[in-house]
Amino acid sequence: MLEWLLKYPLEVYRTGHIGLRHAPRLELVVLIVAAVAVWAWWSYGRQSASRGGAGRALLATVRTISTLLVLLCLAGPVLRTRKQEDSQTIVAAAIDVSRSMGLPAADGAASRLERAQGALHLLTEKLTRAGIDVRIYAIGASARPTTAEQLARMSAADDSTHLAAALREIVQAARGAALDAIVLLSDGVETGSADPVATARYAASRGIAVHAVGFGRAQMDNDVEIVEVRCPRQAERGTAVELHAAIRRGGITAPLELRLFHDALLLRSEPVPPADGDRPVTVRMTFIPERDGPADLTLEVPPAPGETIVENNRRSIHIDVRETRVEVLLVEGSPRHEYAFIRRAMHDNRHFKVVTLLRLGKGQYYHRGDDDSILSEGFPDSAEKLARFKAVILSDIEASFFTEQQLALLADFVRVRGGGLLMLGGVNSFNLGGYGRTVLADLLPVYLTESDVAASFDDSEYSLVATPEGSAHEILRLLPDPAENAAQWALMPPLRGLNPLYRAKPGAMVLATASTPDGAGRRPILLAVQDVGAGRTAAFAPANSWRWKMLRRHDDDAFKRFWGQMIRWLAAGAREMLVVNLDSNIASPHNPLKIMASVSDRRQRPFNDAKVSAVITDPFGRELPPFPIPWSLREDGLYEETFVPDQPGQYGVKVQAVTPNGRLEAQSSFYVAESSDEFLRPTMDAECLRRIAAAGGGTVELNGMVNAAAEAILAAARAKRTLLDVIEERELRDAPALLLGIVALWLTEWVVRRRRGLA
Amino acid sequence: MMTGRSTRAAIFGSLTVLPVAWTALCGWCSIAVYAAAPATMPSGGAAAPAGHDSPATPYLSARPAGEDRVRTGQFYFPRLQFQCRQDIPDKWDVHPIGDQRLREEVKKLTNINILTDPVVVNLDRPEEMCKYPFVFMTAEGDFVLPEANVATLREYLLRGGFLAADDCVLYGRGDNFYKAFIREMARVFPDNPMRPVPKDHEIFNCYFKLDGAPHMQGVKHPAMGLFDKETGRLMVFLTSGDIHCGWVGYPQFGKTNIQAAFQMGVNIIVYCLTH
Repeated sequence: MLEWLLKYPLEVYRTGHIGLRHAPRLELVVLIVAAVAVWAWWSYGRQSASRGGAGRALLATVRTISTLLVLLCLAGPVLRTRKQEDSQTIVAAAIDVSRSMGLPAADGAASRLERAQGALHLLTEKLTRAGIDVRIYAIGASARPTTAEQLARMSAADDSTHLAAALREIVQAARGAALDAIVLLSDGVETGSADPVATARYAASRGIAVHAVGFGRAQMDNDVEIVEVRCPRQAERGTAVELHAAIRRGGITAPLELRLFHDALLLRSEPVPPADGDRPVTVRMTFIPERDGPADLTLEVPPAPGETIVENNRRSIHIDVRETRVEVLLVEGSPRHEYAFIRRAMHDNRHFKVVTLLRLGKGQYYHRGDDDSILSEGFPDSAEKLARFKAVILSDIEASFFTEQQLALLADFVRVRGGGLLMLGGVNSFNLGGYGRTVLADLLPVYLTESDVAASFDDSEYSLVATPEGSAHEILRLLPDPAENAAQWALMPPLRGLNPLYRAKPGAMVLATASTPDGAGRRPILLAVQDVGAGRTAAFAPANSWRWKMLRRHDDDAFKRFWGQMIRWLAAGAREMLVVNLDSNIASPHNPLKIMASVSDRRQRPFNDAKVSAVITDPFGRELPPFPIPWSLREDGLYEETFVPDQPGQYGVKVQAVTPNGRLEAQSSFYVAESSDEFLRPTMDAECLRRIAAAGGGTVELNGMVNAAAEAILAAARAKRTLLDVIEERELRDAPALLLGIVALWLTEWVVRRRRGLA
Repeated sequence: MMTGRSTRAAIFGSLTVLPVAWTALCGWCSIAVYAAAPATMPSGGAAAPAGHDSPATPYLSARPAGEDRVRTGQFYFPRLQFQCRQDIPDKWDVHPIGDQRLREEVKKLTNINILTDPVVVNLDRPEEMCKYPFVFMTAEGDFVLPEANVATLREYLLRGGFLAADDCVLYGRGDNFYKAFIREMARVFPDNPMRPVPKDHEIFNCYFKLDGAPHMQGVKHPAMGLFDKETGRLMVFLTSGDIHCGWVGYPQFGKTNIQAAFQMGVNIIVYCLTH
């Protein structure tokens, strides 16, 4: 009964204290009390029946008290007690179930996943005992909620480990819930492209600590591993493709061989050189694709006796082999041997179509290969005409041959279209041709200012000396080894005649100099290259490179290779109006693959209003229904869509873009295979785990133990509980005792008034 | 001690002076008056052939010598020294003035920076010879190349060299050089015989439009060519009509023929430098 009257148990009143939610200042309280008392006294003083000292005082007192009680209710009376809120700590345990977790743990007795499952069990037990809610996620390419029972039945089967994506998904899944920490149980092998450290930092910024527990060996013995393979995604049929494979010998000193297979057919094999410690060694390999279309290749190092992991001895490579003809415009100032030999070298090469504009005399041109007669009036005067070419060679032709507009077109051709521009030596080239004050001077890799060039053509004899950069550069590559290549160039016949150029621009690369220094001891630059905007430029100072052909045996192909490589390098940056790129040309089943199409108009400006669609051809040669590729807000002219392949094999991608200029088409391909990326780094990536923990503000243990993580989480949980101690306010305005008191006072007043004849 | 061959080579340059004086004394006017309209350069160089009797145009006289032309590169017109039979009167070094006159005409007529210095190359010095991707060869009589020279010539041509040959015509009526040349080239390229060069071939219209090779004197044979088996490039060009003597400018050939001889010479050089 008493508890009902007071609304709360007496125990609560004992531990708490009563107050007002809207407590006025003491002076105001006194003033109100006095005002109410005066008002009550004054109100009964006007009535004659109440006159009489005792009666008036009684009535005024009762009215004052009742009024003050009403005012008290309005001020919000509360009972304040201290409350320790029951704060729930939630922890996500993210356990890596990718294939690399199936590798042996550090002690070799069990797999990493088995060790991780044991560690998770311990962690769960410790945390649950402290009232902490542990939620379990299995992570691979993504994070999947699971239970301890389900996890116990799981095997290490995921093809990839995207730690960054998985961590982000866990953080986002916890949105709204009070996730306090993530414990990552993994070997740290990240096969995705995103940075898990950045994701850990993001989690920490949301108050979620990321702890890392590592499994696996820090160093793997007796295991050969193909660490990395670099090769082009596209290649020309009949042109040598160069592969670079980084191989870690893993302590194996026996002779090893790197083999390249195409459809089980051995194409090449190269010995793996001895290693310096645990550092990977690079093996270079070249092959010439003979067929058009996608080529699926396999690089393999046969397993050494007793090798622990053989999955990382093999890598799949996918190359799109095409036969395209690069159209090159060669503008020649007058007939000379250099023109004839260069043209011959490129004419013999089926990868090039050389369109030549040769000035025979004033207003007289000789043009070859110009099927569309776009050169009938001389050098192209519009970007559309020039856009047909991927590279332009200016061979001994003076700047005044071109109009200002044509020079500006050439500059745009390089900067915007990504075309290549090469200036050859001659009496009308570089500064001698009056290019010093033109826009082309800004594009060339050498300075044409008076102090940096000689005033006249140098007709002396010299040899080409490849610089260290040049020895390894694709333009000058006659032999794969840079040192041997430089030696090979030293054996090339001497040339005669050059434009003495002495200073390269800061962004340029000098690939070759002349063997003979000038009077001041400076060696003229023979070949310099640089990237300009989207394109490339090169300056080749010699005027008689044909000597490399005439003064070598007829079957020596150095001259032809040099010019082929030069043109290919120049044209490499030239953009098509529709370009299809895939984020990878090797994909895994059920993993999304991004298809990106870049569309531009004839002036190479990004075009956003195209209707772009793609048709995928599956491994059985069936065309899947076409799907649109929407414009990406990320970049002008870029259209993006993802495709999820479901089965292994060869896929073709045909992209169409409908623009006001017509229908454009481009093709690409990719190969879907069970990924062996998981075994690329069979050792635990301790550094990655350390960095994740550091960024996530958590602990790291690389021995598979969870003690530090558990302690840190428990300590955080305790601290969180202290922080959540709060003062609880309980309403008293509706306490029955208060209401009854007011009513009782009003009744008392009424009864007294009635007795005195006032009511 | 100088051998006979080296003596010839040494005096070759000095021989250029005498014929110049001779022709000047003969009152032979400048060959510049034998003007012809250069062929319009169509796409791909395919122009309709024009007869060498086409009327003279003021092309040459209207064209200033030098200022409007930008000469680039360096082109030499070397004479090939080879072993000739001793019993023939005019050997490999016959009439160097013809070469000189052609060089001067090429300089006037075209944009080619042809150097007027006489140059002699020798099949016995292949590396020196290969510094000149174009060589000219003429003589009056039969000749037989030594085996070493055969190999040298084959290598030279395969590297990219061009050989222009003309029969100087023994006593104005023979064709000994022409026949010997074809025979010797069969030794150089046994698997690739010389073939007649069709009249619509670019060498006859790449600069001037000509109706085949001009003929000054001797037995009239078709112009023969040795074509690269892979690219079709003309590597060797042989004429039987003594166009070289046309360059010398013997009046008995007639102005029109002499004009055609020069045009053929220009075309041979332009073809070499554009193919």
